[in-house]
Order: sequence, then structure tokens, then C-alpha cells
Amino acid sequence: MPVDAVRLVSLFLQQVEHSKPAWQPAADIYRLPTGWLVKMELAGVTAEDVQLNLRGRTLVVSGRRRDCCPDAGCRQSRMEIEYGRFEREIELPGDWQRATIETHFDNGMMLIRILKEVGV
Amino acid sequence: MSEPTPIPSNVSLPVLPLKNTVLFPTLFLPLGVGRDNSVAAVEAAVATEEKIILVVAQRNADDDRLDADALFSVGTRAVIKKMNRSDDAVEVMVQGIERVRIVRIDQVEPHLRAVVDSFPLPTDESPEIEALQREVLDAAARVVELAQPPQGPAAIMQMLSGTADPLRLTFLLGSMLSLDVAKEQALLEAPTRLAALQRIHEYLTHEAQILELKQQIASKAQGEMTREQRQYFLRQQMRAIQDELGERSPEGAEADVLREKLAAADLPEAVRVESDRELTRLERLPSQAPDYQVTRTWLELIAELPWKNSSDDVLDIERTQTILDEDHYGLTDVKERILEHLAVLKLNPKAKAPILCFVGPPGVGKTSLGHSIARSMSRKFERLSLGGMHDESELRGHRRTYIGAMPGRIIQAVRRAGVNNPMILLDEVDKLGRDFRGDPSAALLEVLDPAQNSTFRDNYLDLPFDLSKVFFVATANALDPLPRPLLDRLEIIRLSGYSEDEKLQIAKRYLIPRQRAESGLTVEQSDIPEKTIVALIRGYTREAGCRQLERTIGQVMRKLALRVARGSESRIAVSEELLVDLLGPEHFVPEDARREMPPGVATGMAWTEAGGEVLYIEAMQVPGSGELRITGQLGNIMQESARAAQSYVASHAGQLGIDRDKFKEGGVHIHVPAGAVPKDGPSAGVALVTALASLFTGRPARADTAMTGEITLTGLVLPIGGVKEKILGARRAGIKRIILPKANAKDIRDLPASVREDTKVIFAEKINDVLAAALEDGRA
Repeated sequence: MPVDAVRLVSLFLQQVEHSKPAWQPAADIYRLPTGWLVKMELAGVTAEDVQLNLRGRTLVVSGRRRDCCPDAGCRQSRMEIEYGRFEREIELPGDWQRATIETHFDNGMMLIRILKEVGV
Repeated sequence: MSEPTPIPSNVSLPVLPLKNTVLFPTLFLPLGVGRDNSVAAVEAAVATEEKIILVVAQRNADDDRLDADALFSVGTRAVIKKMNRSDDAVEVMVQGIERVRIVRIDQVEPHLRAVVDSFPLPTDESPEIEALQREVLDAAARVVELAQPPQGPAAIMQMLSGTADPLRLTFLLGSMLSLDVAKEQALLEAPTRLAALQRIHEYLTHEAQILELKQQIASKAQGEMTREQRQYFLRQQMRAIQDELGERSPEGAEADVLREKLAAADLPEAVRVESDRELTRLERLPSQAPDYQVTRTWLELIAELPWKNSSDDVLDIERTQTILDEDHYGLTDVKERILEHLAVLKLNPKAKAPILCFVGPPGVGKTSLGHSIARSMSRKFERLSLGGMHDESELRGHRRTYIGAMPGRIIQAVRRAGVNNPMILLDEVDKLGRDFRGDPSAALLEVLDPAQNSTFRDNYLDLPFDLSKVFFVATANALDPLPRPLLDRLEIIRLSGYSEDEKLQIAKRYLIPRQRAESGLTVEQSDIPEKTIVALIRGYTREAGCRQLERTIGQVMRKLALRVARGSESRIAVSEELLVDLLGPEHFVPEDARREMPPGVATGMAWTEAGGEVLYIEAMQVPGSGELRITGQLGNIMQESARAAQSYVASHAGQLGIDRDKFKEGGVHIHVPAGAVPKDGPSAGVALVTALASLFTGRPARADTAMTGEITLTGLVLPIGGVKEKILGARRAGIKRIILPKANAKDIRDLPASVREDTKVIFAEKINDVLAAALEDGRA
């Protein structure tokens, strides 16, 4: 195998995780007595730019992180934060035909509560 | 695949040109960006919110001119995921989004910008695609199996088979294989999924074949690595480690030293090839191997032999003459022959060296003459004593298969000399032995043949060595023991004994000064006048050469030294009387020549290896039957000679004035003293006749006359050899009147002038002449 085999193959395995051009924000998931709490790392994203979509048992969080240059005339030397379109699909066991979704932004974290409608 | 965001028309994108690779949609690719234009493009892309950049492969990696023609027209719209700027380059991680076609380039500086149009990936479907996809997976499995990636084939295969989309599978495999840009670009531009799969299948099959072949070669090479090679590799590693530690193994150091020596030696090409081979072998041998020492000593010999190195001859005739005269008195013939050879060499430097053979009695200076020839020509001198050598391999070496094998003496001598044109003195060539181990004289035949010795092959050396420039000189006391073919190759130069006068000169010039210096005396303390030297030569020595004379002079010097050391005397002139005091009475009486000769005794002359001698032949009549009795250890030829003499005398009795009745008085007894020394040869014929004639006529033979010559029954006197030695021998015995066969008259020229003047030589053609000259008058 050629010398750069290691690089190529490790790159390869990476391809599986991110096969889509949109980036995936990290998420913590908590079980609530009546539903789920999904905490997502979405710093720098405004609430207007996020769309939530619940299709069956799949919660799809998508949106866009807009980049901004802090100071005029600056020259960027490193970029690690992912910008642009993001999309994250999370499977949540349960029947969510009738559910309420609450969202709340707290210091760069987006908290999404998916709760069963009680008494229906 | 997710649906890419639509491309805003008429908006140009910064362009990142790629060398050597292609970015496929959906795949990640880390890139190092170095070119200023590209860095500017990345910066421009990063500055936008979308971080979108167009990644296009260059048609030619070496091309720095970037315009529409230099790039492929199909590229990948990509997003920069990460970026890091280091001192001299920018690293970016890009992810392909979709395939696009470049519509136009609308900016070149500071970076390229291009307007693109969407060029969606094909979406054709057919069962054929499905079948081919499986086939591609199989081929990929084979490649992955053969390539043995560090992550293990299973992880990769799991990922590949989990990829449902045929184009994504194609792109994954395309980036995995080390394909060239054109092939990768062909995958990107594939018009249909089927075409893409067909192409990647072809590449995979090709790759699988190459990998299989590679593995075959590797396993074959491994199989061929025998135990010996393994040892060699281990040893090489050990050497490398020892080098690193500064502990070079002794054998490694030896091989290195040898390599240097061989490199420094000026070897002919054939020898160089052979020695290189042996040197490589040596390096692979452990030093304990028996072969190791053999090979090492052989290589040392190769390095030291003067293959091309020769000394320059000094061909100055005058100088040579001076040196020869300084070292040796007399020997004019020999010196002249050497000068002749030198003259030839001077006119024709390529002339083959002659092979001279000095023949003469011991002590006449054969060996030292060789020495001074070498000195006069400025050649290196090597002496090989062949006396008692009986093993052929001592001359030509042992084959290297034997442990302890050595090169022969000839090659050793050349090695010692350090030049390929030394003078080699083959001393005592007549004393070569010969037994079941071989005949060394046969080996000498090759060495001494100018036609053959340019490619002399020593058994040990096993390479041809050129001996043709070597000046060979052999010495011998007698030629009889030499085989004919060997004799044939030698140019014989005879050195006969020295006359008394020559000895006197030699003593005065060389022996006395040498012995005087040896015993630490001055000229005043040890003055030996000429008269004393003559007395010394006459009374205390009897030899052809000068060894005994030198010893005796040494004896005198030591006795003088004792006197001087005791302090009794400081100036001593050695008179003849003192000589008797020092050495005792004379050992040899010059009057060895008998003063009184009764009838029946005649003086003959003999030639021995030690020079000439006088020989008395005694004949006596004994009562009894008429038989001839011969004593004195005479050989067959001499006995026959005696019978011939008797027959001649008996048949010519009347003519000789002999009473025929005399023969009836009894038999004749002939005796030749000394009885213990065997004698042979025909040359005593005339002396035998003279003795018998004297016996029967009663006329004694003259005491001052010696004679030599072969006789025939008809009374002729035939020539004989060794005239000079015989005459000098007779002179030593005090005889100055010689009867020689007429045919030997020419040999008189060999005598020193002083001897010639002082000796009366009578030439005889017939026995009558001899008898007339030899017998006293009958009236006495």
C-alpha cells in the first residue's frame, strides 16, 4: 500500500460520520418523566435561524450559523468553528403525534423540550 | 445525498486549484495550500459566510500558469470546514458539496474566481448498476485484503458495504486508490452511474493485479533468503551496531584495511575482478572459518605483489663496468657478456632478459657476481637457494585448498623485491632434489622459458603473473646433474678457478682488507707483503676458488689481533717465517709434484668440481699371468681407457723400442691414487700410455710435465674439456710444462696472460708426440 495509506484510510473512516455537507451540532439528551430534553450546542446561532421539525420519532434540528467578522481589516488565521448550514437528526423513542415543543436559548445552548400532551 | 443549496447564478466563487488530486462531492479532503493565489482564494472564501470555494484539479501538476485552459472544466463546489494558518502554508479541510461546471473565469488576480453552472451527478438506475456495484465491492475487498491497511480490512469493508449510493462508493474508492488525476477526474465527470462504476471496477482490478504481483515478488524474495543470507544480514546489522558503538569487529577492520590496500595497489583488471570477489567472500566469512585465513593471506599477497611496479634500469655501460671491476678481479669474459646484455637492453628496452647460468667450482664468486650485476643495473636482488629443494610445490606454491598453503618461492621472492623486474639468483641449481613429491626442475622449465614465463601461474596465486622482466641468474658447480631441457634454456657462462696471480690480486684487493676490518686491525698492525701472500696461497690453500684463502687470511688476522691486544707488538709485518709461526707448518707442499719419478709413473691432469688437480698414474709389472689389474676406483670409461693404452703400447712395442719379451714377464697393475676418490673420464688416456711406455722402456717420465688427452687405438690424441682448470691445477702443483691435445690449442686463450707466459705448452696430435715430450732420454 502506498505511504499515505494511513492518512487516506483514517480520512476514510471520518467520511462515514459526516457524509453530508451540513455540519452537526453536538447534543446532550435527557429523559424526562413525560418526554425528552435535548440540549444542543448552538452558540452564535440566533433563534430565527433554527428550524425544528418532528417527523414521526425523528427530531430534525436544522439551521444556519452565520459568520461575522469581529473587526474590520482582520486576517483570519484559524477556523475551527463550523459555519453555514447545520442539520442534526435525533431519534426519540415514543409517540409524538401530539406533543408540545418548547425551545429556550441559554448562554449559547439551545434547550428543546418535547413533552407529551397530558390528559389527551 | 442531501440536496445542495441552489447555486446563485452569476455569482463567482473563489477557485482553489489542486495538483495531483480531485475532490469528490460529499468527501472530506485535507489540503495544504501554499501558492499565494490559492491562499488568497481560501482567505476570500473564509471571509464569506458560506465559506464556499470551488475546488478544481489542474491538468498538469507542474503548471503554475493558471487560466481556463490549465484547469479541468468540471470541479467541485466545496465548503471549507476548518482552516489553520501556519508560518508558510495554510491547512484547510474541505468537504465537497456538488459537481459543477465552470462557465467562465472572471478574475485571475489576486486569486482565481469562476462563475459556475450546476452539473448534477447522474441518477440513472438499472439492475446492471446494482450488479456492478456488488462486483465493485468484491474487487475492493480483494484490494483491501492485499493492501493490509493498519486499521484492518474489516473496518474498511464494513464502511464500504454500508455505502448504498453507487456514486459515493465510487468516490470513496477513487480517493482510496492512488490513482492519477486524469483517472480521478474521469470518475468525477462520469456521465452515468454505470460508467462511474465501470471505471472504478477497472481501476480496482488493475490495482488488485499489481498488489498480487507485488506480494508474489515479496514472498518469493523471502523464500529465496536462505539461512546463509539471513546470517549475512544479521552480521551486517551487527556491523552497523558495532560501527555505531565504535567497536569495529577485528575481521571487519581487517577487511577494510585490505580493501584500502587493494584500492591503493595498481592491479590489472583481471586481478581486480578476482580480488573483489574474494574480498566480498571474506566479509561474509566468520573469522573462525578455516577459509578465512587462507583468503585473507591470499588477498594480502595480491595487494603486495608488484603487478605493474618496476624499478628503472640504470643502463650506463661505463658505470656497470666500474662496479663489476670494483667487485671482482678478472672474469673478463663474464663481465663482457653482462655488458653485452646491458647494451642490448639499452638499444631495445623490450628485449627479453637472458637467463644466465654461472658454472664453476665453489668459491669463485658466482653468487657475489650475481650480486654485483644487480647492483650495477640498479635492480633489486633476490637469492633463492635451490640446494636440497625436492618439492615442486615449494617453487610453484600449494593450491589454496590446503590449509597453510603458501605461494611458491619465486612469487615470494618477487613479493619481497617489491618490483616485477628484480634479479633473481637461483643458487645451486644443480643441487635440486627429485623424488616422489615432484620434480622441481620441471617447474623451473616454465619459470625460465622467456616464451612461457610472461604468464607464470603459481598454484597458490592462481592468476597469471608476468615474470618475463625478471633477470634470472642460476649458479651451478656442475652441469651434469641438470636435465637437458633445463640446460637448454640457460646461457652457460663458465667461471673456472683463479690462477695464483689472480688469487694474489684478489687477496690484496678484497680479502685482506675485508679480514683486516673484521678483526679490527690497522694496516700498520697487519702488513702482509706480496711474498707472504704467495706463500700463503701455495702452502696453506689448495682450491679453485678463494674461500680457503680467505679463511686462512682471517686466521692470520686473528692471530695478529691477539698479539696486538696483548700489547706486545704494535707494528707487524708478516714475513714468511712469521707465517709458519702463526699457522704452523705448510699444509700443502708445492712439491706435491713429485720430484723423482721412477719409470712407470706419469703425471695426468684431472678436472674436479673444486677445480683442476694433478693425478699420478702408477704402473708396475707384477709376476704372474698377463692380466691387467686396475685399482684406484676408476670408472668404466677410465678402465677402458687403460685397456686401450695397454693395447696400444703392446702393439707398438717395436716402434717404442720395447723388448717384446718384457710383456711375458707378468701382468701389469695400474693404480691411480688417491685410492679413496672415484675417478672417471677419457682424458687420462695419454697419461696411461705414457706410464705404460715408461714402465716398459725403463725411461722415466719427466717430473715437470703434466699431460691430458684422450687416445685412440690408432694413436691419435683427441681433445678434452676443462683445459683452464687443469692447467691452473697443474700450476698449483708446481708444474709448468703441459702436454695438451692439438685440438685444445684454442682453449689456451682462456688462461690469464701471466699464466700463459710462464707455462710451456706442448701440443700433441699423435701419441708419439706425447711420448717424445714426456719421457726422459732412455740413456739415463
